[in-house]
Amino acid sequence: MEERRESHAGSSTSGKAGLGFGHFSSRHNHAPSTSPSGSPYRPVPGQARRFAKNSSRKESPFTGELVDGVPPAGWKERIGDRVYEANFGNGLNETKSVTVENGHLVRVSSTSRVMVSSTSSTVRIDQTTLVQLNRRPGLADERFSEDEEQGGRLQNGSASQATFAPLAELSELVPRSQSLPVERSKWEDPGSPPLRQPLDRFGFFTPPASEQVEAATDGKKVEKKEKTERERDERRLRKWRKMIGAGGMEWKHYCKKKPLVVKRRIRKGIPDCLRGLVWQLVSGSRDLLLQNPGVYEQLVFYETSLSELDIIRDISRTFPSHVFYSQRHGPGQRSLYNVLKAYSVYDKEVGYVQGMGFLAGLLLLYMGEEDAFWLLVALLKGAVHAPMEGLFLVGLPLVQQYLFQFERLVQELFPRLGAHFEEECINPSMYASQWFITVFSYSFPFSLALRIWDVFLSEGMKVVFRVGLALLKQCHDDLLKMPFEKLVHALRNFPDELLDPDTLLPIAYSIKVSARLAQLKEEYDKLHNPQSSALPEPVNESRATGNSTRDLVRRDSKDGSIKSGSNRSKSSDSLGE
Amino acid sequence: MRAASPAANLKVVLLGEGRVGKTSLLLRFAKDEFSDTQQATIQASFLSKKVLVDAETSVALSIWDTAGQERFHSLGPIYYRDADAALLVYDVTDKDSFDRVKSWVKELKKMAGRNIVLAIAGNKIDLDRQEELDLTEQTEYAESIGASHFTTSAKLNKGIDAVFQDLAKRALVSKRRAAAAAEAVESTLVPRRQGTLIIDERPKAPPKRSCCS
Repeated sequence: MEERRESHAGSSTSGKAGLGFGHFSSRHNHAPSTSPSGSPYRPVPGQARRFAKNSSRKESPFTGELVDGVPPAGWKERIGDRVYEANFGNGLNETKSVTVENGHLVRVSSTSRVMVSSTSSTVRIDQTTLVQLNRRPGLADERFSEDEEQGGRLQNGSASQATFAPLAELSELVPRSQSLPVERSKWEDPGSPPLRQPLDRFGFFTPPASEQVEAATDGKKVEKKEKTERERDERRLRKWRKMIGAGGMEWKHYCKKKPLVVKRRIRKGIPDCLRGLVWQLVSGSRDLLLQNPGVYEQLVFYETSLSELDIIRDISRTFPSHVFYSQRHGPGQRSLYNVLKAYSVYDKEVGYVQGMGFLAGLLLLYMGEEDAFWLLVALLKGAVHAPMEGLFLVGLPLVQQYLFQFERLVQELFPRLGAHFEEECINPSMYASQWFITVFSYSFPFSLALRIWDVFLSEGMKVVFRVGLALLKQCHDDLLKMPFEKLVHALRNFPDELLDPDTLLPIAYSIKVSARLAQLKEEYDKLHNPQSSALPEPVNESRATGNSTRDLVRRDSKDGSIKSGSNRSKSSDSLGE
Repeated sequence: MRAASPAANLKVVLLGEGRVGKTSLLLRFAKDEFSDTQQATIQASFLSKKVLVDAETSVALSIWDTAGQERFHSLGPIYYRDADAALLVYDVTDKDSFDRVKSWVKELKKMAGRNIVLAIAGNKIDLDRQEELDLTEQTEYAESIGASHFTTSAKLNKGIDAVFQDLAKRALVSKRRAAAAAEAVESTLVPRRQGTLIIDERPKAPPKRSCCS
C-alpha cells in the first residue's frame, strides 16, 4: 500500500521543455479555459512571484491563495483530507490531485504528472483556496537551492519550481545531452551517494572498468562517430522542423503530399530531439490523447489494478542500467509504474505482461507519461498498424504467429540455415520472442533500438522481421558452423559491428517480406484457428491481419475501443465489451 | 578442463515466480556473477555448466532459465517438457512466491516426464534479517513431493552449488534407473505382445533426443 502511494505521489514526467516540444501539450491545443482571469494554463508571473514569497516561509510554504476567482465546479475531497481533486470547470473535465498535510500543500502529484508541458495550472487546496502553479519555460535551467538538498523547500524561484520539485529533477534527466554526466548531482536524491558511473549519450551507465580496456581502444572511433552523427542530425533537424511545422500543423499535410520523402527521412532516423513528438504523430497517439482528455488521470488515480504487484516487481528491472530508471522510487520508476498501471486498468484483458515495461520505458525517455500511455494504447490497440495486443494476451497468440512466420521466412530465405536450426533443435522462441515482444528494446544497443522504433512506429511490425532476418543474414555463415550451445549464445549476442544501425538497417530494408508475411499469416490461421471469428481471441487476431481492414481498424480503435476504454474507466466494475 | 567426458548431459529448467532470483541463481552458478540490477527475463535463456557429482563422475548441465510471469507459460513447454530436472525457486521473503512453486509442481506433473527430478530453492536468504527463518512448511512440502529443499542466496553465493549438485546427482540416478526400467519393460512386453497380437500396444519408442543434450 505504502509502495503504491509512494508511486502515486510525487511525480513524473518531464521537463520536456528542454526537448523542444513542450508546446505540443494537449492542454495547449484545447480551447482556452473559461476562467475570467484568463486561461489557468497561462503563466501569471506576478502571482507566481507572490506565491513564491509565501513558499519561503518555512512553517507554511504553501498556505495557498485564491488566485483564480472562479470556484471550480464540483471539486470534491478524495482519500481523507490528504488528497483533493479539483475540477476546473473548463469543459475539459480535468482533475488535479494535491497532497495536503496540515492544511499545507506539500505535493501536487497529478498536476505534475499530467501537466507534462503546460505552463501553469490551478489547484484547489481547500474550500477557500485555489493555488496557481506556474511552470516557467526556463524550468530546465533552474536548480535546486542548497536548502532543498537539506530537506527544506525551495526558497527562490517560482512556486511551480518548488511544487514541481520532482519535475525539476526530471527536466535535467530528459535531455540526454552530453552535459548530463556533469549535472547529475543536481537531481540526485540527497540521501543517495553520488553517482560516479559515466553515462552514454542516451543516459545508460557505461560498462564497468573490467571492459574498459576494450572500450578504450575504439573510444576515439566511437567519439568521432558520435560527432558525425550529431552533425548529420543537425542538418536533418532543419528539414524535419519544416516538415512538422509549428505545433505539428504541417505534418499530416506533408505526409499526404510527400509520403515517400517522409518514409525515407524516417528510415534515416528521426532527429533525437524531435523523436518523441514525431513518434506521437506517426503512431496516431497524438489524436488519441486529444480525443480522450482526462482518461489517463482517471486511470492512474482512481482505478486499481490487479496487476499492481506484478508491475512493482518489474519496475526496478526495466532498463536498470538507464539513469532515468536506476533510482529506486525515482521519477523514472514512478512514471513507468503509472503508465503500466494505467494500461493494465485500461485493458483488463491484457493487464500487465512482462515486456510491456520495456515498451513503456523506451517511450518515457522521449515523452511524458500521458503521451507514452496513449502511444502504448495506439500500438496495442492498433491505431495505425495491426494491433499488438496479441503479443500479450493469454497464450501469447501473436508471439506464436510471429514466430511461426519468422521460422518459415528463415527456412525460405536461408534454407541451409533453416535446416541447420532444425537439426540443432533451435526454436525461434529461443532467440526471437523478445525481438517481437519488446521490439528490440530489450537487449539491443539503444542507438539501434531507436532507429528500429522510428521505422516500427511508421511502418509497423514488419521491420522487426526484416531486422531479425538481416541479423541472421549477416552472420549466416558463422551460424552454420555452430552447434546448439554456441547457437543459443550467438543468437542473443550479435557482434557489435553488426549492430550499427547505418549498416544493418539498409540490409533489413532490402529484405522484402510483406507479401510473404500475409500469406504465412493465412497459413497460420488455417492451422491454428480454423474458425477465427467464432473465438473471442482471434477477433484481435483477425484485426491483426491485413491491410484490407486497416481503415476499419483505425475507426474502430478511435471511436470504438478508445471510447470504450474511457467508459470502462468510469465504471470500473464493467470488464469491458 | 577435466579430461573425462561427462557421464550424462542433463537438461535442467529453472521455474518460479517473477523476481525470485532465477536468473541471478543461474548466473551465480554458471558464471559466478551477480548484479543487483538484473533485467527482467522476457525470454528463456540458456547456460551450461559441468558439475562433478562424485570423484570421477561429472555431468553436463544444460540449464534453461525461464520468464517468471504466468503469461509466458505458453512458450514454456519446449523448455520443461523433456527436462531431466527442474529447480523451482521462490523468494523466502515473499510467501506468495511459494504458492507458485506449488502450482509449478502440478504443472510439471501433467506436462513433464514422470522421471523429472525436482528441487526447491528458497532464495534471497540474505534479505531476511529480522527473524529466524521458519521454512518448515516449505521443507515439509518439498518432502511430500519427493523434492529436496535448499535455501540459497545468489548475492552471497550461498547454497547454490549444493542445489545444482544435488539435482545433478539425483537426475543422473533417475535417468539411469529410467533407462534400466525402459529396457526391462521392453523385455517383458515383447513376448506378451507376440502372444496376444495386440499391435498397438507396442512400447513407446525411446524418448527423442532432447533438444539440448
